[in-house]
Amino acid sequence: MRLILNDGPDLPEILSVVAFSTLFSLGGGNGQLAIIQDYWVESGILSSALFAWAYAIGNLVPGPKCSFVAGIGYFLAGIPGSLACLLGISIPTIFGASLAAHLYEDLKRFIAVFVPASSFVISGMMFTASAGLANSLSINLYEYFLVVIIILGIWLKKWDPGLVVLASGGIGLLVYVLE
Amino acid sequence: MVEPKLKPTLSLSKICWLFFTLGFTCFGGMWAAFSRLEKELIERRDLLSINEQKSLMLAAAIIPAPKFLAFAAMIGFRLGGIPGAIGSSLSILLPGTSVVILACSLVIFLQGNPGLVTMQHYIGLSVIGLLFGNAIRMFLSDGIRNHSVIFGIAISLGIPIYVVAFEGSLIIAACVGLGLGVLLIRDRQEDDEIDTE
Repeated sequence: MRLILNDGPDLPEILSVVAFSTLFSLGGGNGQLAIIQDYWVESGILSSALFAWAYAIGNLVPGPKCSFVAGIGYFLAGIPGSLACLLGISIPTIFGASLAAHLYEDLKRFIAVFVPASSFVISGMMFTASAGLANSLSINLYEYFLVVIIILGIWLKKWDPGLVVLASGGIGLLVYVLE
Repeated sequence: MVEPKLKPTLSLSKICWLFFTLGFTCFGGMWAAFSRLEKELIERRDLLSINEQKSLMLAAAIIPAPKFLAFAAMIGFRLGGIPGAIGSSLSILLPGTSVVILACSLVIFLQGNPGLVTMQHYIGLSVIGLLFGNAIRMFLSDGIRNHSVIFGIAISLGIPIYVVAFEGSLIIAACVGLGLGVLLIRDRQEDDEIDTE
């Protein structure tokens, strides 16, 4: 079952894009999300609503938050797409982690060269993903106010992302009922 | 190299079961699950020391991979080599991804429902806020202790400006930003060492 807006990617492409995006998870940042958004949402292959849904669910489930890629894969190409995404995220991680466990001290010095710059690059990529998503949604003034509150809560109060997603979904339902 | 405390003693099936249960019970990412991991890996099973757990968590945070997944793969590798790494990482992903796929299939069945559309819209707003807020936190966490903060600002703002305003390629922007960052941005500790010399 193909669940995309236009002609979408095939499984090798899904696997390779996700595997490549995994390299931008350096330092724990979600540069990966920005790459995926840039590839499939900005190009119109995947709707921003489905992309946001997969990412939001990824924040609610147990285990690694990168589980959201399975949802992206599902929207792109059904269950095979999910499996391609899981392979795409697992292959570079298993390779890198095994190497790091084996050669920890040597690799630490090499990776340390990239770490100071990586947080600036990844924060730039996250700003880009956020702006791209905002561009693709129709947002009114009151909704911008809600976004600003969430930004401040995440930044200053370290709100739990899962609770933010749940609360936002609840507000959405409330708005629907009141309308 | 982080020396293993014990030679690998767990079979592949036990490694898979261990990480499946961790994947099912740990919420909020690797750091949030610290005490849960400590209880399971150190207190209950005696597979690591607390220092080894911390070292592996730090290592997982500095390699280019999702932290929690990388941590699971590193533990799996220590306990069972490459098969252990494969088993642990796929097992820890299984519970979360199953729920994600279920939720995503549900949204397809309900597609077009006006209530769901409104809810999706508001969840989209929360994702914008989450990304932006986390981007600020990530920027400030390093920026405030870095001598080369001006280059950091240029990179962090240059990427979205290039991509959004000029419709440039994100990959090119990120790679150029990383290359320039490696040349121009250093840790304060590194600067201090050079100053001392």
